[in-house]
Order: sequence, then structure tokens, then C-alpha cells
Amino acid sequence: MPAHAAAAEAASFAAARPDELLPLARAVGAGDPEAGATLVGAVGGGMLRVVRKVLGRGHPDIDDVTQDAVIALLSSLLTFRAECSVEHFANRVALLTALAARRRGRARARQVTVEAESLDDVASDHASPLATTVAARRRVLVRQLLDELPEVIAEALASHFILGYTVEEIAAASAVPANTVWSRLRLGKQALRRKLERDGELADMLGVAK
Amino acid sequence: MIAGAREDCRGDLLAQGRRGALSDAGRLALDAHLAACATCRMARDVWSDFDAVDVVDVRDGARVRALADAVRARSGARRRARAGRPWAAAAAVLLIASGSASAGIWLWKRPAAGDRARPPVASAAPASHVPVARAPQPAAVETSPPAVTRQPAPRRASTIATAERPRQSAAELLAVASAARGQGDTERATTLYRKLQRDYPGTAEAVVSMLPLGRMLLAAGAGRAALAQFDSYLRASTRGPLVAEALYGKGQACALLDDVDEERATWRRLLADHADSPYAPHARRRLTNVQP
Repeated sequence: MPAHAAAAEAASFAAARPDELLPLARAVGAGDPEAGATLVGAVGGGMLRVVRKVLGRGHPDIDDVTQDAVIALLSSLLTFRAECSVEHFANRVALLTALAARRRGRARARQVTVEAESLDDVASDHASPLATTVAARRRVLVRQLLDELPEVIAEALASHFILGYTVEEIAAASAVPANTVWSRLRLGKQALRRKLERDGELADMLGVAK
Repeated sequence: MIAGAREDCRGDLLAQGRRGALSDAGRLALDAHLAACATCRMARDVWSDFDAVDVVDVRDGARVRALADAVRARSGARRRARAGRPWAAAAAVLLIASGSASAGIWLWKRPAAGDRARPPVASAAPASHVPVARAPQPAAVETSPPAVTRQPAPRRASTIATAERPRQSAAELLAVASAARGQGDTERATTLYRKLQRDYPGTAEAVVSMLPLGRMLLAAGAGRAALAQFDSYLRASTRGPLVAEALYGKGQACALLDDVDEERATWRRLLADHADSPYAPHARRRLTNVQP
């Protein structure tokens, strides 16, 4: 099963079966150190992949940001109310931590981001070189937009596009009404469409006259 | 303007379809919707772009194991610190900083202030609201203690009592500062580390404290203040066990300050003197990525 499909499946709020990680998360909240290590072993891989998607494959800060996300996850489990699955919660912590890291390091890491994207190109499984190049360019533009948008809109957009969450899931995770999420997504998609349309490099690749 | 663009499109069919949750009728409905809705076509393309890079790296297993080891080691160190044994807390600082126990311990560091800036879930808010990700404001005066916008963790009464006794030894101060840092009370930890350096200059404890303080300042975006701590350690302990750690911190501080030449010189020194350090791969990457 592709990683994204597995993540999407695990992300489902309305899971038919009970959350198998919940007892572990409760034990972490109660201060059991071994439970913390076991939980990280269970959700760490998914968190790592989320961080990699936000920062770009090959970004030098992936490991550091994943550590930050793990720390944030363990700290927040004390108050976790199980309104979503533990894995879903962990992935969202990873997403928000990575978005924050991007914003924090934007000024100093511009060069690195570009280079990390070129590694994305090399490693991509897309069928054609053009498709690979276009996809990499779009990822660059989406990540740039996430840095530029107001945080709440960026969070909604990233939850939607990177984690693949539905509106209801985003609303539950961020504790806002679904209508608010719709509104944020609408603004985010408007901005994304403008950014993609106005990018000369992308237009050149697609053979679109500017 | 893309023909057929409807940003107010409220269909969640795409998200359902992406996770294989649509019936045959649902799939037909999605196809029909995509033919008419350019916004959802754009969303489909962007989703596909990110799915293409959602792959497992061959080193992910080792990375996750290292993270789990670090959690285990950190929990052990905090338990020892809470047990009220100053020597154990100091040893934990040394152990965590030097990474002599495992690769996982090498990896561990405190979270950046910005990542902790969203306070832990308030009692009125749903607990699943994630307590991270507000970008921090740049520190106005870098020599000041880092601005911590989140609510400080409640202090343990015993810790406060210990910290506020009129005269503490250097080892006691280091232990209390480490415990405060372990509890996430960055502001208090910073104050105590600075007190240790002021009251006991030149002692082993004061020298060791330069590294965790430097890391906290770095996490708060106070690059110059952090650099001063790492440089002080490197001057005071040219062959100490934590030199690689200090060089790693210095390199990061230089990166934060956009001092490319000094950053590259730091990574070169780290590779020359500590080629086996876990920080060596990071140093090599930075030397490749950051050009003068």
C-alpha cells in the first residue's frame, strides 16, 4: 500500500475499530517512559514522512524538526482527549511543527529549500521528465505559499493537501466549525490558483502563453 | 482565470476518493465533478504531487529507532533529576550533550521556542487541538533571555524552594537549571544557567552550562547570544568531551546569523576534528548546500 494511502486510512476519524494506540498514549500521559519510546516507534515513521513532505525531501533539517515534533507530541498527550486517532494527532503535530519550522527558517534557508527541491526531482517516480519537473515546481510553489499565507489558512490548506484530511477532520482537529474550514480552504485555494497561474516558470513548462 | 474555477466548491469527494472510500457511483460522481470544477482538478494535481514524495526512506527505520531511544534516555534522565540527586541531573546533562550512550541521545535536543509557543491545550479547548506551530517573533534584543510566549509550566514547589535558597553550589544550580529545562520552563532555566555562570565563573559546571543555554538561545532565535555561549565553551574547553556538540551549535548559530564564511569554517573544523561525530553528516550537507 502506498504510504499516502496508509496515512489516509489511518487518518480516518470514524474508524470502525478502536484506536490501538490510545492505551499507549494514555500511558505516556501518565508518565510511563517505556510507553513514550514505544509510541514514537509506532508513529515516528509517519511523522517523519509528513515533515519530509512539508520541508522537501533532502532538506537538512528534517531530523531536527521531526525531533521537535516528537517532543511536542509527547508534551501534548497529557491533555489528549482522543477526539481523533493518536496517529492522526501525531501527524498533525508533525505538520504544524514543520510549518512553523519553515516560517522560522525561511529567511536563512531559501537556498536549501531550492536545493532540496532539486533532490525531489531526482527521486520522484513520475512517469515523464516533464511531469516530474512540473510536479516539483508545483510543490515549491505550494510550500512558498504556505509560508506566505496567514497561519490558520496555511494550516487548513496543508492539512487538506499534505495530510489529505477532509473538511470535517480538519474542523475537529483544529477545534473550529466546518464552515470556518471551508472559508479558509476557499481563500487558500484562491491564493494557490493565483500563484500557479502567475508563475512564469510553470507556464513555460506547460507551454501556456503568459 | 481558470475556466470552471469554483473556489467555493464544497465537494469532499476528492478526499474520499483519494483514500479509496468511494463507491462506484461515488467515483462516477467524482469524475463528473472534476470535468466541471477546475479548482478540484488543481487540488487533485497538487495532491498527486505531494503523494509522489510520500515515500519511505531506507534510513527511516534507523531514524525512528534513534528517536525512540532518545525518548527513553530523556525519560530516564528526568526521573533521576526529579529524584533530587544533583549529581545525577548533571550527569544527565553531560550524557545528553555528549551522546556517549547512544545515537539516539546524540539526536536529542530541546524543542525550539517557536514550536512550543502555542500553549498546551487550554481547559476550554478540545484537547486534540495541537499545541505547536505559531511562528515566533524575532528576539528584539538577543542578549536578553529568550522570549517565551507560552504559559510556563507549573513549577514544582520543591524545585522553587531549592532554587531560591540564598546560596547554592555550582552543582546544585546546574541540577536545578537542568530540571527546569526538562520541565519546559525555559525562562527559569535561562535565568539559572546565567546565575551559575555569573556566580561560579570558570567552574566545570559553568562551562558545561554554556551548551544547554546556547541551545535554548538558538531555539529562541537569539543567534548572537547563542554564538557567544558556544564560543565561550570552545575557548574554555578546547579538548573537552562536548567540543563536537559546541561546534554543531556554533555552526547552527552562524547559519541563523547568515555568517556563511564562519559557518563553513565551523563545519570544516567539526569534520576535521570529529569526523566520527553524529553531526558529521549534517556538517557535510551544509558545506554542500551553503556556498560563499
